[in-house]
Amino acid sequence: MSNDPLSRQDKSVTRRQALKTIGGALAATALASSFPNLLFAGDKRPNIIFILSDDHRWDMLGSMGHPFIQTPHLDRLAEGGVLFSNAFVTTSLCSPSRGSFITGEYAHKHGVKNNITPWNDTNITFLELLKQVGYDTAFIGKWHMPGKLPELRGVDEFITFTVQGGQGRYYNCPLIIDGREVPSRKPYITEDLTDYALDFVSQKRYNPFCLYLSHKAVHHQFLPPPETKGMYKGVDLNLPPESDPWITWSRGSIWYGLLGPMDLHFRMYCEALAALDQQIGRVLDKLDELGITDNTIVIYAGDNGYFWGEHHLVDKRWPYEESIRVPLIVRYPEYTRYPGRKAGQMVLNIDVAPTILDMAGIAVPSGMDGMSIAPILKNPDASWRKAWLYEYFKDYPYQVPEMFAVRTDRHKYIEYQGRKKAELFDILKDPLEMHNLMNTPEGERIQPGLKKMLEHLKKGGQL
Amino acid sequence: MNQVNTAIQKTSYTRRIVMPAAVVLVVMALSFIVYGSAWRIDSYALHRFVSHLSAVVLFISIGFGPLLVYPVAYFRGAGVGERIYASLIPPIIWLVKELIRVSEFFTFGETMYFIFNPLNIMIFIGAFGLMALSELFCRRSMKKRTGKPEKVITVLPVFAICTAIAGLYIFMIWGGGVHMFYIYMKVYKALFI
Repeated sequence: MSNDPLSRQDKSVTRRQALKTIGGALAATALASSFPNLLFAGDKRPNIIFILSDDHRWDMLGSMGHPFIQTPHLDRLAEGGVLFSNAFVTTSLCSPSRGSFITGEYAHKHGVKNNITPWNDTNITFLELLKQVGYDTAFIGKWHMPGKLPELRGVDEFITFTVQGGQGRYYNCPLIIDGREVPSRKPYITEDLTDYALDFVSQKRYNPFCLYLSHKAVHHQFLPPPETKGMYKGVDLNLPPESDPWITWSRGSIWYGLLGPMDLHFRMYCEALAALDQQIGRVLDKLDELGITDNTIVIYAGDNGYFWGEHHLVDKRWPYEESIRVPLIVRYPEYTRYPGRKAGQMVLNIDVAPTILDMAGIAVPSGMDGMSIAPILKNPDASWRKAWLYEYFKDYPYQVPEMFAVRTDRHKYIEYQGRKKAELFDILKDPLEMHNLMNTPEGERIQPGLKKMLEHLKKGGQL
Repeated sequence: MNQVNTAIQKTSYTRRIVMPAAVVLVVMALSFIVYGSAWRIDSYALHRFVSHLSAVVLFISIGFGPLLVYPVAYFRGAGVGERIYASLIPPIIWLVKELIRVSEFFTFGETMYFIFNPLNIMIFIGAFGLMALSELFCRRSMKKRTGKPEKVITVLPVFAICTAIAGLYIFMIWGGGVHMFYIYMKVYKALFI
């Protein structure tokens, strides 16, 4: 060491130089502790915006070819990213599905099995894991997990609502900000939540951010704002042939609160969706304005689908396609090959948390049931899961039996508790699931294999 | 409510109790079956027409049955207890049908608690309100027919009508029925979770 020229130089430093060096080192240490991501300037993590809507089913998008619904801003998002046309939820109900989005786990694991069983505070959310690596985080909007409002670990800003059992109100909905109730700033909730989201995104910061923007729209009572109210007046609603306006009153459907003819509710739903799309446009515009679009992952998803008369049903819960399929769009310009395409792999709500962690460069915890869909963004032909488990648990007083189902690329096999018999559908031949193959020669041939798959998935296996 | 008017001849039990309730029950059953099968009709226009018609008739038979049963029983000589009993037969049978249906999904305790849900309570409060309304109508009609100076409006039917209106507001109109639903669910959680 004594022959090292640097060592010789060290010996000749003056007191002033030594003080300067020490001072500089101290300043650097202080700066690094305040802004840890500056230590890893070459490892710049992306910003993340996850937007979750309510009851928005997969085909109610302009980019999915819907005959009259216009969603120009969601279409714009899809044009810059990947639209997953085969996205599903593992439980088609608000609270369990939301639990699955935020934890990456099935409902039977995170514990929010229905809209009654409480959120378990020991659950780990992707926000918590992002916070641990230096993200600024915010949860804005609908929490709606049963139990007391949690103190979400790893969330810097928690803005939510608790009125109407956590469902919120479309107009003048009081918000809970850091535990205190405050009146709404804007009368319409989708705009109000978006304003808070834009405030968060616009903050000057050194850290990357993650925004979880969870809308009430387009849940029942489907109230649109004045600017979109009536925009679909006179449009042919194109409702399925088996539907009629009184479905909202029959077979226990009155519990879904859709008093009045279904046509009216559907029109309002479409108008509330148009308003949601407009507000999403504001978020996208803000990213462009701030010049951070390229380094921001934007994910849009619905928490479950919705029946509008198909199978003579309204609401969700049942395992048919209208209920379990959701819109899912992922845009990350720096990451995506061939943007503007549709991906047909079967992706799930439980995949969102691992995907976010993966794209943020964080190891995905082994306890998560989902898989990162990032490989599909890079490679359209990425190999993927062959089958997955659907589960639904009793949710009093709604009259839907508990059930488990397996969905493959081609088939769906459903086992119900209670008196309802099992069902088996060939999705390719019968996409509307009108012909139950049970007790047919074809069904008898296929069913044993599917049953085996179902049992395997129920035990936590992957296929 | 006054007892059976002496100007009315008391008919047989079947005519004064069973038949009026049975008429409503038959209408209820038929409209239920027709509504449940209407989606099988190939013609969309006809399907919607039949659905509309049968659903409206079904709704009226469940919610407004007492408007038929009570006056018929009254003018066939049924006493006040019998009139109430006859008027309650259709909604009770509907409720039993619903309980059998939901017992597939719920435990016995939950099924019993289902009886007290806001919709069922509204059906029964509404039924008493409609009975009271019918009582006033029948009295007025009898007064005109007999010319006797009997009081038409008395405390009990007015109270029943007011209760029904208040019930309609609390259970169905206040917050679109959502507030009562959440109260009902709070009690459910306290009892079963």
